[in-house]
Amino acid sequence: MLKIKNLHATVDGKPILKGLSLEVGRGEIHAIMGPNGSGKSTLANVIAGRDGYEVTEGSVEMDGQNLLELEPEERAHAGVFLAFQYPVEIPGVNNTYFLRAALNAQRKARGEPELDSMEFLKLVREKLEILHIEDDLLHRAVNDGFSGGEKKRNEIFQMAVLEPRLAILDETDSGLDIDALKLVSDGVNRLRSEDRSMIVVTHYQRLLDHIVPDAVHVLSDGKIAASGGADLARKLEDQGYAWLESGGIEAVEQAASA
Amino acid sequence: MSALAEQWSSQLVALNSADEGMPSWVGVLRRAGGEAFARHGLPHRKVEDWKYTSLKLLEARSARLAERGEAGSADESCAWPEALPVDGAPVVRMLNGRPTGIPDSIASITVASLSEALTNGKHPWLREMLESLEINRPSLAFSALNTSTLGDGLLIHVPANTDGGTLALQWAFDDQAPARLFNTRVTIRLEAGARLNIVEQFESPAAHNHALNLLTQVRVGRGAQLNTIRVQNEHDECALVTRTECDVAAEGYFETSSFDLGGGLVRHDCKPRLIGEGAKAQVNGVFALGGSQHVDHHVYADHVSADTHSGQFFRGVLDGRSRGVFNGKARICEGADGSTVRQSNANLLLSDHAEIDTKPELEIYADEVEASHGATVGQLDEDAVFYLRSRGLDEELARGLLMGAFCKAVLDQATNCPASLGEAIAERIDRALGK
Repeated sequence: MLKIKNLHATVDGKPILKGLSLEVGRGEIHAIMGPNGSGKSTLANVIAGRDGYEVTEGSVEMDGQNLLELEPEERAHAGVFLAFQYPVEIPGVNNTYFLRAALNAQRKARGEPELDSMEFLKLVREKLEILHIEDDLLHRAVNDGFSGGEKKRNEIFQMAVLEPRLAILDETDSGLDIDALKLVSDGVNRLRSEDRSMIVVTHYQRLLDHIVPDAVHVLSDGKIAASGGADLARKLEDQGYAWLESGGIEAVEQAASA
Repeated sequence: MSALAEQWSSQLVALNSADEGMPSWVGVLRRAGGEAFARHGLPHRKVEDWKYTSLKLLEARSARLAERGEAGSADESCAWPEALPVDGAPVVRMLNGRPTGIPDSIASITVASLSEALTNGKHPWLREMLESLEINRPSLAFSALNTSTLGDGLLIHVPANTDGGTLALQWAFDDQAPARLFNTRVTIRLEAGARLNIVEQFESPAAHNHALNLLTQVRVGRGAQLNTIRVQNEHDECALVTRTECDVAAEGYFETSSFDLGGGLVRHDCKPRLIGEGAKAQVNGVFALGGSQHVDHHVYADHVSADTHSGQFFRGVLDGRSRGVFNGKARICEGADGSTVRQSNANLLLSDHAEIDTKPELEIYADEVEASHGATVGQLDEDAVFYLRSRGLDEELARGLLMGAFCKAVLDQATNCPASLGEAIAERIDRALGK
């Protein structure tokens, strides 16, 4: 579904990704872990098409389509969704209005009929029910004055409404207390589907207690240093990332297989 | 003195020689206005209050002073633009600065042509109000000029403890040559406990190059409340100079929100005087400009009594070679303890050639006051643009949505704006931003 080959990317001329390769199959959840500065968020932003991240080598393809040549909105139309680490506050833009405009922009681009406000509200109610969340955020301006938990919940809600084929969750667990973490990860689990692949970027293993991934990759210095199953995350949690530096890839692999 | 000021001065002498059956005090006022104007001429850029606004546009076309008799052509000759939705409220059409008629549907309040009110003497407060206007300073040349031609305009009166509902004023100009300057005066008096909403629209059916010098004098009585909304969508060649002076009595409230989406040369002065304890004033504005448009806001809130509150909330979006000015001043006089001032002016500059001059000023002579002011100039938040695009909105839509939201923050400050009117204004803002 998603194929990343030998990806090199720079930020402000500084190399961050240095030959990253990754394949995510249809309906799979892959976790990307790694120490601060290893390039986790850069990977998320490169896939979503944020300005300021320059790809110098390599390719990112989704179902054979080259994502790197698309504008951010075209990637969204193709089914890419980034749940932001720091969702942006947009005072004055109503959450419901924004989401309907976004959904209709995507539907239009895909040649599907746009939803009128009644149809959209019906869809919203369905999604709220699936996620077991209240509609209190809908009437407010996008993320404006939201708590950290509310912002992340809003990201997941947007994801539910936009129904992406590839969702990238960029440190969705950061800044959340245990209850909020559970609420958000329950939401993500309800959105698991064989038509939806996910990349879960996280620094800590605790998120992966709730969202159990099909594969875990450890990112170090801009490359995948090790890959394994869900167990790898737990081992990393026990032993930290320090041994990445001391023992290199082999040590990680040994730890993973121990 | 500039050639234009000299031309107007000599025209004034001829204009004011005719006797129109006005009481003698009106003649005295007009002469005083003419003398003050002759003394100071038109304000130039060395006059501090006019530092950022040049009157070249006016001078270049050497507009003639409109004569009082010629100001109102027939209503039918003007195809009026679509009025803002005011939910059935009475609409007074002001063509070339003069009412074309007063609707019969106005019941609980008095609305009259000023020239009639001046001659019939039914409103004893009118003389005192007109005579109290300050005109003799270089920065007040338009007040002097306005007084020198006193006659055209409107009188609005709301009796005590009466809810006057909403009154709409629709201002427009004809497109006939030559270019003229129309002077007009609106006097508004709300007695104690009265309420009124005024919705003003400035929009002409066809391109023209006239100018309007509109002076509005307001008295808000004890516990009374006046809310005004001004939507200005004039043609690029139109010059508009307005000045509003409003005295607010104890516990009274005055609010004005202006939306400048057009016009060539626009200057607004607003001077609320909080003369009674607990009086409040809120002055808001949006300017969404492009091309070579110029909008200059000067606000001067004067806190005379204790526990008075004033707020200024302005948003500007400037593209092309447009220029915006916000000069927001608040003075808290000695003894006006417990007063508060909030000033906010934020601006988006979309072009390297656009310019904004923003200057919040506080003068505080009282001891216990609370004042905050802030002015920002920046570009759109690129993180927000990316956020919206990442959800599927194209770049143009994303930027439009953000600019619209930025301006519409002013609508939230307009406390008495019905939803339908707010939506119509929001739509006009979007249109202005999209052009």
